[in-house]
Amino acid sequence: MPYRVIMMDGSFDSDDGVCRTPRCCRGKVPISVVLGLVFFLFCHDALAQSDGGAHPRPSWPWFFSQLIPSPQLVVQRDQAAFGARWQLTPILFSQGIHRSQNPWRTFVVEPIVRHSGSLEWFVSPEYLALGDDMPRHFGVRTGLRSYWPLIERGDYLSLSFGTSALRFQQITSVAYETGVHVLFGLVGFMTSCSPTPRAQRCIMTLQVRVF
Amino acid sequence: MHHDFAGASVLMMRRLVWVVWLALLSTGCIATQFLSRNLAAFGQLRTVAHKIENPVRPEARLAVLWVGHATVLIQIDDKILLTDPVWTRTVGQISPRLVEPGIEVRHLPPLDAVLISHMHFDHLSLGSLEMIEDKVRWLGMPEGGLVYLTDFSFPAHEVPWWQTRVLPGDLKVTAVAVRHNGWRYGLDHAWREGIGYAAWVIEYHGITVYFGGDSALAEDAYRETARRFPTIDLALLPIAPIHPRGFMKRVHTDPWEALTAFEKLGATWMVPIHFDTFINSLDEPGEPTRVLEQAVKQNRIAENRVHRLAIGEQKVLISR
Repeated sequence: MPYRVIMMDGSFDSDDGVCRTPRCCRGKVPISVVLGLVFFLFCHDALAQSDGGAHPRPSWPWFFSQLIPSPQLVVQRDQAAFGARWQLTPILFSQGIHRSQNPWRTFVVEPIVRHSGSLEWFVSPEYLALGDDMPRHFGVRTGLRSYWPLIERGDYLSLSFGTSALRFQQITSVAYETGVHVLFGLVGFMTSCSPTPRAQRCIMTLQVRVF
Repeated sequence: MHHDFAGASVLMMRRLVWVVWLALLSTGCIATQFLSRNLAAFGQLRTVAHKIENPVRPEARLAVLWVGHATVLIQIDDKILLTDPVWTRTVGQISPRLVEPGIEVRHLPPLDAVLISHMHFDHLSLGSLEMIEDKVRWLGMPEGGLVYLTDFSFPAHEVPWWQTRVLPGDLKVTAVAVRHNGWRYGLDHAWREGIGYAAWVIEYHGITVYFGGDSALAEDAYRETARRFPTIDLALLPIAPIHPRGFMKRVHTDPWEALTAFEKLGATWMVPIHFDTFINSLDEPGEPTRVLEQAVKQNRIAENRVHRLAIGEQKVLISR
């Protein structure tokens, strides 16, 4: 049965394996690059501040901790491969934070603010060792994820549920995910499954996240 | 090929974890030693016999009950206060409690004020606050503390250093300066310099109690506190962790320094806290109290001025 996968840039992919990206869109700056640029400018601006305020802000240790990858195991049809994921949180709203505090966070999120109950928009650059062409191993995922505290307001144990779109090897697939997080979110076990026909896969992630 | 690659990756990761772990152990990494000690202590909870079931003493004007670590139940006439409540089996998920709490939560009376000294897991225990939530009438936190509290049903306020909050019945609590740090997770150190930690002074009906929380030696802060509160009756002072001293000295007083704090504050009595409840150092069991006894003798401090309580023990310091 023929099908089409609509891509984020408006193009689509079909079951004949040909990517039909419109000519006008080829060479367009990828969304990940734009986000990276916004992120860098935000960090650069914040790192340059020296007001010593109590508001969470990027610091160099925080910046380097964000480079720590979370290892993944991806299973797709009869293949299994190694992968890795990084995490960015452009926006988060916390419903667990004390009522006197600002519930919004951008990029830098204290663990208790996230795991005491929150909804975040996340962006994850991903590496999946599927196929032989190294440059095609990288993709970007973006989606929404909610966190629910179970023990110690989420510091000890929390659950997460989310949905995302992964742009990988010129196919955009939808995925649904669930996760369990311990040690103030430092360690998490997540699974995400994609039902998208040409990208049916499940990914198990050992999430390592410092803020 | 992918199956082989995944299998090899998992094997490589396992080996890497073991190599890193052994390397850290062999180099004497402090954090690894703490972790090893804590992991070895799981399942070794000591019980407390004959726990007090009715801690409110009608004959007392000032009484203290040591629940363990920095958790102290203070009675000043008809007011009951609690400091840094921790009733959970672990703090920070990986540090197990060595001794049961000195009183059961169900035997706690309504608490006029709960005071939090700082944000570390052994002082701000969200699970413990859930346990006592319906008993708490007011909770005080250092400046910058509420962001880590999450939402509870009781009222909670931040009190900056040297500011006083007057509670119903003219119970006064003042946050005062100490020398410690106010982060909870480590990386938050970057934006929490100078906030998120405090000691507290409680005043009620002419009785003054100093709760030191957790601090390095801070002579200027003690002097300023003594100037503002010249008649401190009781000082609850941390005496551990001691070792490794080079590392701990920056944020923790040892028994000798605690006695210096006691002297600078000009308090009448001292009750040592913050020892023998959780493993957060390389101290030997019982070492802080042994060193304290030695320091008391060498400093020629009258023995009836320093009251070392057992966990669960209550002491009436001023009677009616």
